[in-house]
Amino acid sequence: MNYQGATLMQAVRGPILLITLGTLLAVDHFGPFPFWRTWPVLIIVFGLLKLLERAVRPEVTQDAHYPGGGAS
Amino acid sequence: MRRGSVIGPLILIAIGALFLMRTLVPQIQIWDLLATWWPFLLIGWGVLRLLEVAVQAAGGKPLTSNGISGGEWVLIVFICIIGSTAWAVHRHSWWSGGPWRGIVADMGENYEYTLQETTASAGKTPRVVIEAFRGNVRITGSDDTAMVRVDGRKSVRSLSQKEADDANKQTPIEVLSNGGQIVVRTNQDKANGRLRVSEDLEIVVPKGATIEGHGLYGDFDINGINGSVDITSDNAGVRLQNIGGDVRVQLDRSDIVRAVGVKGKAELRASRGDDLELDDIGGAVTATGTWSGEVDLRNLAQTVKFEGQNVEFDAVKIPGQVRLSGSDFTGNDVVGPVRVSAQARDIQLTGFTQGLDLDVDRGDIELRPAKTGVSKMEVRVRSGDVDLALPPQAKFDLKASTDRGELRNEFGAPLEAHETDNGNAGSITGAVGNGPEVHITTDRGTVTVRKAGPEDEKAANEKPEKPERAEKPEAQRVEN
Repeated sequence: MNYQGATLMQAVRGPILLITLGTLLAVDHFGPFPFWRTWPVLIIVFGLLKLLERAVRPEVTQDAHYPGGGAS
Repeated sequence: MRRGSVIGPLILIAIGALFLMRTLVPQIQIWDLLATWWPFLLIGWGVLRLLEVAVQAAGGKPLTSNGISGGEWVLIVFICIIGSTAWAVHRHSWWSGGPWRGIVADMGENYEYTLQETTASAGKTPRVVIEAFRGNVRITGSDDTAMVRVDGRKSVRSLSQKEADDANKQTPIEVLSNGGQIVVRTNQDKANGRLRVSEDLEIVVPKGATIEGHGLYGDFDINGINGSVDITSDNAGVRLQNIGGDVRVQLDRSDIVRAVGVKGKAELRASRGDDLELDDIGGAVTATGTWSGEVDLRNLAQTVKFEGQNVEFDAVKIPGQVRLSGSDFTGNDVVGPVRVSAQARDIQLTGFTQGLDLDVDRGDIELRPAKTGVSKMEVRVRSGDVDLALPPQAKFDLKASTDRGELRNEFGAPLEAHETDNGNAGSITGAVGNGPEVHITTDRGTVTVRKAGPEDEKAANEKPEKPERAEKPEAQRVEN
């Protein structure tokens, strides 16, 4: 389940980034903020998604106890 | 797993639908819509992918490792670049004047407005300046007014009623009085460059007015003015009637220039002109540029200088008519010295006097000098037949030769044909009385010299019919 959750987060990352990008551009067209001021949001969203990925993958840290396991 | 995505087929369907819309419902502004709304395309794409992942996860199927592949990201980057360029262009209307302008301006609808009648008091002989505008104008001189009165219609091509209404408010017509000068200003440049504002103006001016008109695109129709007329435009049809002063017309493109009844000079220039029709001009006429359509010159009282496509032509006056149509050049009742220089034209000149200088590369020549007498003639043809019909009682001194071709002396004595090269070249020479020199040479072609018969005289006396000219519909000019 947890492994499944981690890959789910990974699979979801691209679409969510794409939706964010689209939203920022839409805001650029119709909203008050131009894209050149809002683009850091993309990095933040990317960071958040990475964090979530870590959060739903607790056994990765357990894996680290095994020899050869990822240290992340 | 990625292969199973619905995105690829959906994109294909969307592209197909867009093109179908463009062909089936052309009034919908696909490119404008796309330039505006494309970010939602990305959002929709993301949402669809998200749903796919959710469906996969719910079905317990193995997930794709990343929701959006590298190839898709490349495509997205492209869409972003193209989309933001289109958006910037859409918003800033860089393309006013560019090649896109026509495409953008053609989208949308025409919104029509009636112009409020605007007047300015002008005196009897004002100078009326019409500042550059897009559209047609009809100017009429009136005996019983000392006012310049402007009314007409305005049309705005726009995507929305509101945009058109704004443009209409931004472009009020002004008639400004400044000393003896009246300025008619349409303010069309004040509107958003993406919109196409054009006007059909009706202007009534005092009869003594002088007109200076500037246009971008549209027709000038001027009638009954005692002053002079000066018109410059990028693309115009010009029709002038009963003008008391001089006429000067300078155009880039033109489908027709017609002037009937001008007391002064006429100076006409069109870089890419089509038809030219001049009738009853009191002053000197100069027509230069390219006139590739029908040219019809009649009743020109003073010197004429014409430069057309591969034809040049001068005369002292044209009491009769000169026509250029297709590859034909016909002249009747022309007072010379006449000079014609052409590349490929069949030339028929009848009833000309006071001398002829003719130089043609390719074309058949038919010459029937006026019955009243033969004048000095110098005719050179590179390739073409020459037919010379001389009045029976005329005096002249003839030398007509061909380097390769037949000689036909139908005039008879005292002219003599001297054939050389087994009858493939030679000359016809001889003199009647002590007359002017007539020199005719063709490098290749038959030379015929004969007595003008009754049918020639009939042809010379008969003025050619005025050609039936189908008016081109003005509304259907093509934007360039």
